[in-house]
Amino acid sequence: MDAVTLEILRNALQSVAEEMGVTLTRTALSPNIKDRRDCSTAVYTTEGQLVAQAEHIPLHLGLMPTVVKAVLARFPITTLNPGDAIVINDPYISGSHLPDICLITPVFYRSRPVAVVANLAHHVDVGGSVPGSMSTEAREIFQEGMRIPPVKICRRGVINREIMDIIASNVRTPDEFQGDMQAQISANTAGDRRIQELAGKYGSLKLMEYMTGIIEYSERRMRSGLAELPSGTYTFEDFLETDGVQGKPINIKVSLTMNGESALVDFTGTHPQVEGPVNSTRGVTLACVYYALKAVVDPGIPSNEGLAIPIEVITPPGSLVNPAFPAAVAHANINTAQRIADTMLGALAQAAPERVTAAGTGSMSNFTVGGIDPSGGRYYSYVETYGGGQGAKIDQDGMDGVHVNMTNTRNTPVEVIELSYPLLVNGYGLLPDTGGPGKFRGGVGLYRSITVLRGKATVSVSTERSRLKPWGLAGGHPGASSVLKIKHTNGDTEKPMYGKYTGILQEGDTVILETAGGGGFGDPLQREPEAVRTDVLEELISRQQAEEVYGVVLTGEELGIDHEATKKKRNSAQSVP
Amino acid sequence: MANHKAGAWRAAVDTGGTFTDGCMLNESTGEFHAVKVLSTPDDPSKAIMNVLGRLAEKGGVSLSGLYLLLHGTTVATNTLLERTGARTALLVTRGFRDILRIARQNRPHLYNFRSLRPSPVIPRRLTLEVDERILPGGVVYRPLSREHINELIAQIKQLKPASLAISLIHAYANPVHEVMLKDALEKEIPGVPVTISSELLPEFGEYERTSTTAINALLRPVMASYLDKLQAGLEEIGSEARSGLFVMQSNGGVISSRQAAAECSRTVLSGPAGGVLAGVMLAKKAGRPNIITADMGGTSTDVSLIYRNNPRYTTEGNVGGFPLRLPMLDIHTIGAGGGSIAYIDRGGALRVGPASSGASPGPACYGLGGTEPTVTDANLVLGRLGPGSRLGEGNPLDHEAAVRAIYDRIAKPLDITVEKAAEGIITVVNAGMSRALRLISVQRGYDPREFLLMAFGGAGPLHAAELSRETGISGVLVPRYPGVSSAVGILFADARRDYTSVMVTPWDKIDLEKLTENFKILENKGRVDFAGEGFDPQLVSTRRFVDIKYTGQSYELTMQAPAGKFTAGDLKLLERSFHLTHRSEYGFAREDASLELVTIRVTATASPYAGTGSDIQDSIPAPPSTTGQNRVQPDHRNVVFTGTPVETPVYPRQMLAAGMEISGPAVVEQDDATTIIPPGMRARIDSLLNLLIYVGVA
Repeated sequence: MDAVTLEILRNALQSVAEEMGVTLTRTALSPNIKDRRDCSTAVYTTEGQLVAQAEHIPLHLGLMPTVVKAVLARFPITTLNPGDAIVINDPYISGSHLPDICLITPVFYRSRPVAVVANLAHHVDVGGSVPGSMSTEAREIFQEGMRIPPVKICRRGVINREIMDIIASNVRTPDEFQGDMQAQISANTAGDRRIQELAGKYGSLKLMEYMTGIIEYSERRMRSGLAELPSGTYTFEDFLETDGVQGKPINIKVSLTMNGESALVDFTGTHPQVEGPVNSTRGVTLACVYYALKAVVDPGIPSNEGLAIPIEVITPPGSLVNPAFPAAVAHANINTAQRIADTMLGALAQAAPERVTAAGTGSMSNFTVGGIDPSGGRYYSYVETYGGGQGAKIDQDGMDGVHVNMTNTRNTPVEVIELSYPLLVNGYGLLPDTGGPGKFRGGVGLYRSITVLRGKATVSVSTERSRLKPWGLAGGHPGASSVLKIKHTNGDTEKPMYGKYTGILQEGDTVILETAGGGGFGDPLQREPEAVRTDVLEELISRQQAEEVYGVVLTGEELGIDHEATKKKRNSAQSVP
Repeated sequence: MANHKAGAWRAAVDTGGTFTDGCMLNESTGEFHAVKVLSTPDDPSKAIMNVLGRLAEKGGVSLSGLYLLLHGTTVATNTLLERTGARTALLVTRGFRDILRIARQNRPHLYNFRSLRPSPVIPRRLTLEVDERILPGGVVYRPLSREHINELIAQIKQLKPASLAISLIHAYANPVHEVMLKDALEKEIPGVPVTISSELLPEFGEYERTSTTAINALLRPVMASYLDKLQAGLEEIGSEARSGLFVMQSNGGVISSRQAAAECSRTVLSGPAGGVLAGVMLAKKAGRPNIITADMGGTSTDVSLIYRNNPRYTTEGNVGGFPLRLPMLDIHTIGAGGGSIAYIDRGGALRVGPASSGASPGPACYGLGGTEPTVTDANLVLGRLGPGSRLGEGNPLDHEAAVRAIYDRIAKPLDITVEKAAEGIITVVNAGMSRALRLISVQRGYDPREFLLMAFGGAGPLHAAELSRETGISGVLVPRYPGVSSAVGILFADARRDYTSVMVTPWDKIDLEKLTENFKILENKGRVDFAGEGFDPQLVSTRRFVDIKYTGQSYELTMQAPAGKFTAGDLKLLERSFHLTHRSEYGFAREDASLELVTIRVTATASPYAGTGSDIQDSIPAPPSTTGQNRVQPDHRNVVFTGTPVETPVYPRQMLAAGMEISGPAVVEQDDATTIIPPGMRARIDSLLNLLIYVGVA
């Protein structure tokens, strides 16, 4: 295997995955896939080993590897034909949640299987008890929507309309489903064609040989990166506040053993699976583990099977991080995934504090509104996830109002929300004083305030860190907690517990979601006074916080730094243990 | 702009990071000349004056005869990238102060914690909220009061801004509040320019619209003073061009310096536009309507696609992480160039770029202390670049240093020969460029076999033939002046202005009269604006476009629309061509799905120079000896092709006459570029002195 061909085929296969991604996002119907890019596309070996992936959100890093192998176990590739495609969304096979529908297509060259291409996309609705299929109160997977086992949706290039109809009849937005499914089929068709071209150019045997070579390449990079971290065992524990059904904290415990060129990640001691929909399938858990290690070890490692090989992950069956059927799972992606990532980063902070961040906003903060718009009579469903503060780093502030860790979807423009749905956005902005103080400040959280303009609407909101704030590191303070408020037209304001709400809003009601800030890094008394002053001028922190927490005294209209008073203030603050 | 006096000439000057290129056309004789001088980054106008002086000298004309100067400038781009814009205050709707800071809420890199979003172009402390609200469709939900405007004026005065930007929610649908604010501010705070979003970019999407508006305001005072200075310089040399100074825009047309100052965001990506224009022009002249341009420089390569003589446009441009929604030529840039560094990564793969040796220390062969092997070093080791060649005005290339760098960093660790390593570097960098070429062709539904690759920039012609074979492009066109192509493109550019109006309407509810009326409003605006700059409104030509999408989709396709009064038949035709285009771009069409009209667009163009009939075709100087076929006696040197050194003829470009044919392997050298014709390929010089290489792909 030569270094030049390796690089060329690695690039070529990565570009196949990216071309599939472009096709998918540009042709999909729903903003969820097209604008927010809640989808991923990938190329696999004929055994279902991931070779190249164009992931738009890291959560799919662990999902895409597991699902194809599981499906090929049921449909051996030798029994498939060119033009076949298999659809699946069952989390107990695919590893994700029901809205993530996966499409898998075998690729043949001169009637021999050479590869598999697949993509996964988050659909607007897959049925279940609430619009958007993201109930915060589901107790079984059956309440979360329609479960599709692996079935052939295309046979020799012909779409099976019966299956399409069965699914379309069970979702609230059938047009979107059909349009998005069509885009998923187009994406795989594009990938299929490209792989065949490569097989024609390089020969199918050589292509297949180099696919394995690319996996080994990632493995080598992961191993040599892991070896740079100090050997030892590092443990950390973090908590979810609730499963949405009962209000007791749920622990996630990890014990991370770095052992030269390999790592062992053991979740033994983590809470048993829970009643509410926050159970994280093993696929989701793996995604979080791989994400944290890739980010800390070498963010540039190509995402494929190889990076997972040196990492052994123990997820006790029946636990929060590997639940048994039929536990509800929809919100694991939103909240549990973020907490598993925090837990991993907490453990890694002990091994390599210079490479991690403090805890970030800690949830994808999901917001779903659906109903019938009286002005057109059509069912609508607005789904969005909100960012918050990024955790601070050893020498860098966290970013403000941004998606962290397991997701990275773009926001829906205010003007598009208002053009598309009977909603009014009253405000969308940053929240001063919510970033965890530190020598380097955690990012501040953000808020969005939305009023239902016409008709009734079902709303489902889910965030976390409403009490257990995002932790800081090395003396950095935690970020501020999240807040959820529902304002009714009669003047009453509800503050649902733990940032979770599912209910019916009347015309004129308003939902305000404020997401948590990121944790700080280092002692705030050591922050450069000039940086504190800039934050005050930018109104990202108040003058009061500058003085009381950062010990920086500002004077006059111009808010100049009073160096003398600052020194005094900081000295006396330090003497307090 | 009628006939010219004897000695009247026009010039184009393209300012780049390293070189400032210029060319001229003598309007009465049709004579053409080109020059290249070192740029003067501290004061770009110095190099421009230098170019003009040299051109006048070469052309034997006086500076006072320069009646028109067409200018491609990086002032706006650099001001944005270096964050040296004017102190600008931004006014937004209450509740949306953080539009710029939140941006699209995503982070730039999925796995790299340290990769940050750029901080917003206007800080929070200079962003004020306005009590007002407009709903989609333009209904005023919360009116803007006089008293509040007065309060705002008082606040703004305290901030002492040099420029102002206003971008309110849904202002594209109803500009009333933006206009009220602008009128009041211009009156109360004279001398501070005001940019409003509904004028600059009346389209929805508040972040991109606000970003574009803010960037425009930020650059405006800088651009204005730069152009003032340039005009003063022209005045000093007695040129009439002080009233004929035009600036290149990102959309491939020029605008008057007055408009360039007011709408400077339109010039931010003007740099590479000239090259694409040269491609368009040569495409027409050479009778080859489908061309892919590849401009390969030291650190990056710009590629673009021209189909049926038309370049592609996009409104999804981005500079330094900031979106600019204005129409611009669709140019894709990748971080691969002559200076790109090759290395073995820790997984054992040979990688090239995006890190570049830059101008200093530069490739190892520059002899300026660089020890990292680069693409240029590989070309030198393989004999593709001549051992005696000089780059720019630097030293002769150091062959030994190139060999050493490639041996130490690549050949030795991989245990292969230096030649094999050098070929590997070329293969890898070509693969990256080929990927970019696929992205702009195959991924958008174009078949590369129908295209010629037009290669320019210092390094383009070295790689073009192999790159074409790799990508499946049928041939290569190397223009006569590959090193100054951008300036040549600018010299023949039209003046162009773009107008848009949002008209979100379900397809079956389109009011034909209203649609016609709205187009006419935009077309009139174009004629009036051009007339205001001294153009004859009769000579302004307009083209109509509509953005259409499937209902529920947010990606639109821009389709050309017919002139005149709209009929139901026109809509049917548009509908059909939308489905067809959708199928070719995205692989499927949904004929049964409903469509939606989103935006209407009008492009107005006019020629800034008089049509004297003189043209590039007549104006390229003939080579000194117009001898017949193959009578030039080339030198020879060894060049490595697929592992074997081959005794290869080396032709000086200026000796190649129209009609000559060359068989590969061959090298063609000229001051500013080297062209490689690999074994098995043939090349011919066409009547315009372009070098055409037949790649011979299936």
